[in-house]
Order: sequence, then structure tokens, then C-alpha cells
Amino acid sequence: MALPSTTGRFRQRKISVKQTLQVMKQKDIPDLDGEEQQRELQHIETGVEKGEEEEKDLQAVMHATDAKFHGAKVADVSIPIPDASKMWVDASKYYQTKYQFPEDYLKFSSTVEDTSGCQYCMDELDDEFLIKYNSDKEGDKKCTEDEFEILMYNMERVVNKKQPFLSMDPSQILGFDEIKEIALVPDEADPTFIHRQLGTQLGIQNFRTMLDATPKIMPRPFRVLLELFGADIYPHWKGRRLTKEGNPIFPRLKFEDPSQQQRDDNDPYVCFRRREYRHARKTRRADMQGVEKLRLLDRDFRNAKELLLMVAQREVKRQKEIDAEWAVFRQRCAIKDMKRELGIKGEDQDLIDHKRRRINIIRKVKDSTMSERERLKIKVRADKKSLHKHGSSASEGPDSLTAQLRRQQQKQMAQRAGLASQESVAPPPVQPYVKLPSAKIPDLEMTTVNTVLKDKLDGIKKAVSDKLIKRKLQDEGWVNFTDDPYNPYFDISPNGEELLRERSHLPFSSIASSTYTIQDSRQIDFTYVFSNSKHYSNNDSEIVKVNAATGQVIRNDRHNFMPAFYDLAGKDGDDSEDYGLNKGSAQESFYEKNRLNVSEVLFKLRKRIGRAGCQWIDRKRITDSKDYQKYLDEIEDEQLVEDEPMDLDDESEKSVEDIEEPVEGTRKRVNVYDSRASVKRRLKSRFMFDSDLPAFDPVDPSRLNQIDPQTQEIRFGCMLLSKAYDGMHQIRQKQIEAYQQRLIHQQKLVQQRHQRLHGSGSGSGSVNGSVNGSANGSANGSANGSANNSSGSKSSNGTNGSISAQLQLPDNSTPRKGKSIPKRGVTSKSLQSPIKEVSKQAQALKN
Amino acid sequence: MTAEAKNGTSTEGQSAAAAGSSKKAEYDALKKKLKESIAKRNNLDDELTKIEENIFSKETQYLADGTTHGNIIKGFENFSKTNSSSSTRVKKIQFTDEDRIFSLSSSTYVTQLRKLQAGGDGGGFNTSTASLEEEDEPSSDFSTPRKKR
Repeated sequence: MALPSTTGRFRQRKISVKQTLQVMKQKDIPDLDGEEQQRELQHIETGVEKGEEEEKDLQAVMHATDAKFHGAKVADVSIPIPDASKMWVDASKYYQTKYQFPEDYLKFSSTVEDTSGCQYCMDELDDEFLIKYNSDKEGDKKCTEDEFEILMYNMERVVNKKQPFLSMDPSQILGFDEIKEIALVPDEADPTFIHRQLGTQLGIQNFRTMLDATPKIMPRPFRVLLELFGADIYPHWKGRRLTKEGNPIFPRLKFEDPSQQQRDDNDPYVCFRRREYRHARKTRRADMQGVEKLRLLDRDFRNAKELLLMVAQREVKRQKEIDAEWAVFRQRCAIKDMKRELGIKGEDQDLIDHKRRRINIIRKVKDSTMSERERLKIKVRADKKSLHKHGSSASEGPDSLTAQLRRQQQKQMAQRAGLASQESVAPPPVQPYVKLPSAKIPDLEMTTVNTVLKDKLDGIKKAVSDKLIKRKLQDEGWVNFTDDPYNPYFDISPNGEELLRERSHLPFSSIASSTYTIQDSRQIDFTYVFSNSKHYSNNDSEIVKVNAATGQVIRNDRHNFMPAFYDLAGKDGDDSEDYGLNKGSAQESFYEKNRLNVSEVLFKLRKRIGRAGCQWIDRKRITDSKDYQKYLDEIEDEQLVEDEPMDLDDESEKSVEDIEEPVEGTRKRVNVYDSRASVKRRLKSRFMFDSDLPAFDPVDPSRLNQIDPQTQEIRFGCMLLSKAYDGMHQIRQKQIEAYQQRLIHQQKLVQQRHQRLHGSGSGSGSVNGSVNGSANGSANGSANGSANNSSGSKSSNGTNGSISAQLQLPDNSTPRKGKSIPKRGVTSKSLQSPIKEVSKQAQALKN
Repeated sequence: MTAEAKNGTSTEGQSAAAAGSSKKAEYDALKKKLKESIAKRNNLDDELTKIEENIFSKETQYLADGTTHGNIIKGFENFSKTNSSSSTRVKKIQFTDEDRIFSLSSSTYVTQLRKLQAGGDGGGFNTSTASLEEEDEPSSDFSTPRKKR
């Protein structure tokens, strides 16, 4: 039956390496063929728990169905169920249909222990004892059951707390006096303690809550009870405790010992076992969060408690107020009667409540909570008012309009101030809970970001074009050659190139620039262009403007600006024929004259690292390198010899070749990539225009320092500033020192004079010494003193230059701090003050 | 009161000047006593108002403090939420007059607030309490007026 029992649970487990697997042979496997198999399976799937499969009635039913399945005839078997068809006659007697639903399902969340009063519950033994004890007593001398319980409870409480392991040695039990001493100390864990505390806080005697039980006869205070009955009841309690072998008289719930790591699962009496849960991963952050949370909660509860206490206080006060009100009412009634009797008329002002009183109070309270500023304002106003009164008392009658107005204003101000203060009292302002009704939401068109950006862009564009138009107007009649800044105007060549060893500073050097000469002035003679080409200005209607970026035709208006230009190609239909002959020569001469001679690279430089890490810079003149020219010629010769097969189908390349190699008319089609000549040419042009070296770039200081150019600028500026500041400081410091020296010198003189006057004073000798000491300390010493002053050492300068403090000053201590004073910006005035005081005090002492 | 009334009726029978003078003295004493008790009551009233104001401000602070983590009125649901997910922002708790169980549990304070609003300019005492004004008739329960009932 091994297999059915394992499969019968319908629980497939993963095969684990730790679990031994059952090895089964063929003979072990039950025959699952045919009917046998069905039977087995039926046996397996009972649908009830394993323990209940053995149930007798179930077995019987299963066997019966099994037998029925096989065709055997069996009696009906069923699992017996209780008969529910009959009515119980007495049911109505015990189960009343009237059920009152409670108002709240949750009445309160206090524990039973909190609300059931004393937690000791006397039993028969106690009852016997108490009856016997009370039998010979009268009236107040009798101990009530509640009081007895209180006493017993407290004794238990004290011993449970002080001797938790009393059961180990019951003979150690505390004596009555010891218990009494401890029991009278209020215990915070005791529920009555909280009551007492609240009672004292609110000034209520016998503080009770609605949840507290209300005994008919209030038990006397515990202190009294202990005096009255404690000594008598103690032996009874002790006896009971000892019979329990030191355990509490009433059995208590047994809890798990939290200090024990191993859980005691075998003890059936443990209640409220710890739940097993997976510990969350502990991180410091999580811990901190937890602590923070708890702290927050604690604060919250404290605040809530305070609020509730305030509410309770309010209610207590309200009670008092109502009492007072009632007293007033009664007295008024009495007075009214009296008045009627005596026939007194008038004097009614005390008999009615003045209506405005309450509002007045509010205003008064508001006034008191008014913010300081507002109060000051009002005070100023009041002062003014009184001044006015002094000035013209006649016009400022109590009922004059202005006074009333002012009063009203003041009132309003006070109120507003009250409002303001109300808001300022509560540090986190209440977020206004504004909820506009849909009708009041203004119907505005939404502006998208896109439109805003577009507007901005349009504005900028317009501004720029306006500027350009304006400038164009100013330049009327002039041609701006700088429109094309890429054409060099002058060809500058260094004359004394051999003299210039260091070339890095060239761009900045005026000396170097003086050695340059303008080789070939490139001032272009534009007369040909002006006279022969058609001029177009910005707004010519013939121009079709095309956006260079997008290729779209744009509107030809003044905002899509375009510089004026000349049609150099001269392809305009009108006068192309006119030029005819003339054109050729004039044009030629123009271009001949103004051929742009692009400056070539004069040297070819190469940097390499040679033997022993030496750096070499090879310099080679390109233009007159004969070898190179020879090399180029050689290749050209080669080219002639090596005629390569032509690429026929590449038309575009052909045309390129035609342009590039106009000389070699014989070979028309040469693949440009195969042509040596073209390689050569390319190499040549490369030498002409490209350079293996990076373009000469004077190193920017910011790049040297590896910082942002802006930062560099700021730093440079700062450096200049600090240099200037340092210079000024040195001067200032010198001035200060000179001043100090002068002061000290004067002081010395004064002292000497004093000494001379009083002779060598025996009593004030030490004082003199000290003052001299500090004075002799030169500028440094005194500077040190003020350094203490400035650094805020309270001890020495709290009395600001008291003599004892000055005595502590080292005479010639290294004036580190002293040096730093002027930098901190201590003015000479503050420096001199302690010195002055010293001298003053010295004088005072001597006198 | 009844005692006094009885006293009055009993003395009414006698119409003597001598009795009148003693009566007068008694009346003066009573009047003095009344003045004292009125003063006492007014003092108590002032104190009460002060306490109510304090409660209101403290309550406002308490409720404002609890917008993120909760309070004893709204519960501390946010309290456990925050540590689980830092990415999802917890919803801030808005508090209304309904939550002001501390200050508005005093009927005198409520009437006082209303009076204040009636007397003061329309700006209102506080946005939350200003809404109290909108209520036409004073009712014992002060549910939030914003909620349509």
C-alpha cells in the first residue's frame, strides 16, 4: 500500500537530493490493470481527510458503493445525521426572539482588565475568612468585599513584582511592613494610577470614566484600608500564598518566555504563542525608518493626548461656568424679589446679561493674541489719538464722527489682526481647501507650449530682421565686403622667420606682427563687378528666395532678409549679348588681377620621438622641395606607361576626369581610383591644403588649467582682486599695528606716571604686573586678546577684558590668531577697546 | 430661589420702616454678592473662551501635522504605507470641519465662531470655518458644509 498512500495525497513533490527515493521492483508495484485499478483509485479518492477515512460509517458507505459497483446487492447504508425535522418544544423558553442590536458593535477598545475594577476576585476561602473577620465588627470597622479585594490585589501585586520567583523558596516571602512600604508607592502599570493622574491634572476628585464600574459604596482609599485592615488580612493572604507554594493565588495565563530562543512547543499550557514569521531583511535604513516612525507616532499620540486633556479641561471649566451661571441666576431672582418688596426702581444693569459681552470677550482675546506688529501699529495710532486729544480736545468729543470711525477701524484691525494671529499661531498654515464650482471656473482658452515658443521665435526673428534692415539703411551706398569673411585680404608672410624661435606667442605678439609684411595686398578691384554686373537688392521682385536649409521657396518680403548681391555670372538674359566681345577680356583681366592666392603651408613639420626619448621636429620646405617634385614627375611618367583598363560605365567619373586631367587628352577614361596620376595629384593637393599637424592653436590658459574658459576668467579676475585686496590689507595692517604700538606706548607712559605717583604700591603690584604683562606683550599680545574676543571665547572675555582674563594671556605667545584678526575684518576700534578697558581698570584699581 | 421667595412673602406682611432698613442692608449685600458672582462667571467665561481658542489652534496644528502620516481621527493608514514604497506618493489627507472633533464639540465655540463671522468682514475666520457661515440655521451636528447633505 505504499504507492497509494503517497499518491493518494495528490501532492507531487519535487525530487530532492536530500530525500531518499524508494526503490521499487516490479513485484512491489500493485497490479493496476482492469477492475483492480478502478477499485484502488476509488479507495484513494475519498475526498475526506486521511484521519477520517477510518471513520466507521464512511467505511461502511464506501464498501457498500464498492460492492454495488461490482453488482452485489447491499442494503442502503448512510452516514447517520442528527434528526432536524422535529421541533423542540421548550425552545421558546430558552431562546427569546427579542434581540436588541447594539448601537455600535465596537463600544470601546479598553481591555477587560482596564474596566473590571479590582483584578482580584475573591473565592470561597476568602469569603469564609471575611465573614468571620467581619463578624465581630460594627459599621465602619467592617471590611467590605471590594476593600478586601483591593487589599489582596495589592499584596499580590507587590509580591509578584518584587519576588517573581517566590515559588523557588516560599519562605522568603515579604513581611507586612515591607509590602506596605512598597504598595504605597504609586505604580504606573496600575490602571488606577492613570485615573489618579488624570484626576489631579483636571482637578477632579474620584476621577471615573463611563466605563468604570460604579460600586454602590465607594471603597475607602487604599492608604486608609492598609492602615485599618492590612495587618489583619496579611496573615490570611500569606497563608493562601504559601499553600500555593509561593505561586500567585489565582492561576495566571502562561505565556511564552520571550527571552528563550527555543520555543517550548511541548507545553500545552502556553497561550498566545508567538507567530512564526519570516524576518524582514534588516538594514540600517529600515531600522532608522522604524525608529523615525515610532517617534512620529509617539509625538502624534502625545499631541492627541494633550488635545483631549484640553477638551476635558474645557468641559470641567464649562461645568464650573454653568454652576456660576446658575448661582447668578438664583441671586438675580432673589434680588428681583427683594426689589419688588422694597419698591426699588432702576439699578437693573446687573440683572440682565449684556448682549455684546461675548463678542467683546472675543475681541479681547483676539487682542491678546494679536501679533506684535499689529499691536504696535495700534499703539502708535492710539498715541496719535491721544496727541490729537491734547491738541484739540474740543473737536474730539466722544461722539464725534472721526472718533467713531477710528474706533471702527481699530475694531476691524483688531479683528483682522486676530485672524492673522490665528494663522500665525498655527505654524503650518492650513492649506485652503479651494474647490471652485464648475460655473465659476473661468472659461479661458488654453495656450499650449508650442504657441508660446512659436510666438517667442517669431518675435526674435522679427527683431533681428528689423535690426538688419535698419543697418542696411545706414549702409546705403556702401558695399560690405565683410559679408564674406573667409577670403583673406592680405597675405601676411613673416620676414625674419629665422629670428623667431618661439612661435607660440605669435598671434598675441605685437613685435612679431611688426616683422610681418604685407606681401600682396588683396584689395580687390571691384570696379569691373560694379560696372558690369547686375545689382540685386533685398527687395527686388525678380528674386526668388529659397530657404537654404529646407529648399522651400519663401516669401519675398523684407523680413526674409537677404544681402544685396551682384550677378557675377552675368547670365541675365537682358545684357548677355551686349557683353559679347567686351565681356571676355574685361572678365579675364578682372580675374587675372584678383586671383586669390591662397597661402600655402610653408613648412611641413613632423614631430617624432627619436632615440632616448628625444623629441624631434622635422621641418621641410614644401614649395621648393626638388625631390618631391621629382617624385611627382616620376609618377606621372609611370602613369603614362601603365595604361589601365578603362571603366566604361561610369559616366560621372569620366566627366570628373575630364576636368581634373585636361592635359592628358590621349587617355580619356581612367578610373580615378586606379590612376596614379590622380593619386599624385591628390597627394600634392593634400600637401597644399592639409596638414598632418593640427592647425596652429595657441593654447588657451583655460585649457592648460583644464577648466572652463568662463571659470578661468572668473579666477583670473578673482586673482587680480585678491592681489589688490592683499596689498590694501598689508597697508592697513601696518597702520593698525602702528596705532596699537602708539596706544601701548601711551599706556606705558601713563602707568609709569602712576607708578611714580604712588610709589611702588605693594597691594597693586600684581595688577600692575598683569597690565604690564599684557602691555609688554607688544602688539601681538594685545592682538591675541582681541583674537579671543573675536573668536567668541566667552570665558575669558565674558567680562570683556577683566584683569584676570588679561593675566591669562601669554605675553609672547605665537600670534597665530592675532594675525588672522585683521583678515576677519576686526576694525581698529574693536582692537583698541580691550586695551582701553584694561587701562581704565588699572586706574580704577589704583584709585 | 424658593427660599428667597418665601422670605419675600413673609416679610411682605410687615410694613415697618425698621424691617425696611434691615431689608435694605440685605439687598445691598445680595447685590454685592451678585456682582461678585457675575465677575466670577465672566472670568470663567473668558477662561473658557481662551481654552477654546487654544484647542482650535492646537487642533489645527495637529490636523495639519497629520496630513502625511495620519491622525487619530482619520486613522494611520498612511503610516504603514510610506515605508513599503517610496516611489508612490501617499495621498495627503485633507481635513475638514468634520474632523475638528476637539474644538467644534463645544457648542458655545461654534456659535461664537458664527457670531465672529457675522460681525467681521466677509473674509472669514479661516477657510475651513468660514464655511460654517453658509449654514443657515444652527444645527447640533456640524458636518462639513462642503459635503452636500
